[in-house]
Amino acid sequence: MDKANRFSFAGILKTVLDVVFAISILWLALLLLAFLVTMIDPGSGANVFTTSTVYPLWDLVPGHILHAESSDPTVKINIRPLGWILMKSGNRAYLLMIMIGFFSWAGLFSLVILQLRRFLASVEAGNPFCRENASRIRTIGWSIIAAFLIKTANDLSAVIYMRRVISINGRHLFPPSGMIWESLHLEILFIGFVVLAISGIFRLGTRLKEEQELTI
Amino acid sequence: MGITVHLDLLLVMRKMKLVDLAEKVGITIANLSILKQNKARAIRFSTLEALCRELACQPGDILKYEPEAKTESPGAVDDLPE
Repeated sequence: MDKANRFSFAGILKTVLDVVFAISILWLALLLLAFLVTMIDPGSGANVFTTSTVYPLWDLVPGHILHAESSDPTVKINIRPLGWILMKSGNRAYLLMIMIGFFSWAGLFSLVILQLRRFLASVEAGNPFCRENASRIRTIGWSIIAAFLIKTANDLSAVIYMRRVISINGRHLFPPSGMIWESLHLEILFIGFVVLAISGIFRLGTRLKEEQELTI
Repeated sequence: MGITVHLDLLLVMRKMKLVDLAEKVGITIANLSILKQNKARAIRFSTLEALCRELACQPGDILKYEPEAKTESPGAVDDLPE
């Protein structure tokens, strides 16, 4: 790939990231507005925070579903065919937990997009191996790992809450171990470590480039 | 100190300007300036050869080794008893 094509690809990717970043900021602003409305009046009908999960109900309830209950009066449950459980919660504490987790995760996502954009700008300028890029890639790696921790804590908390609140035919919803493992998303953690390793490579590349530039 | 470059002294002795030397050697003034200020990390043999040719000197006339000042520290290798 010649120099011009390589840099135009970086330019295109940078443009795509700009669009993604703008859309994500708009989406976050709308969600923040909805969150504020819901916190003021959880029963206002602006409950956009739902939890959807597929649970193998045949493991717990032989036959078909008769009745689902919630021990939290602010929680509404709707069981769909094929075992989908939709939960709308007006519990402020639960909503706050979900939103803190979501906005932390979204903040890290925005940070990653920004760092990636600046990295691509340096690639387009023909200077990928610089100290700033090694730092940016390291920031991206740690952000991914932090996002994994936040998302895992958030998902597991939601699962534990659902287990406590929802009951089917008088028996509490007991998440199978598979549900908990599905909340882990270990591949995100793996990607974070890979990105950290790549930042080490860029640090070495920067050092080699500086030595090369100072070789007369 | 380590390796020091005594290019400025040779330029004075040969009555040559940095600009002229850079043009004759085939490197940029910026790079030659980096070399003159002892900021270079390494020098290619081809560059050293060109400098010696244009300045009519030996590599030892351009490059000098000056030992770095030793710091007193217990347990240093040189302090071990024989």
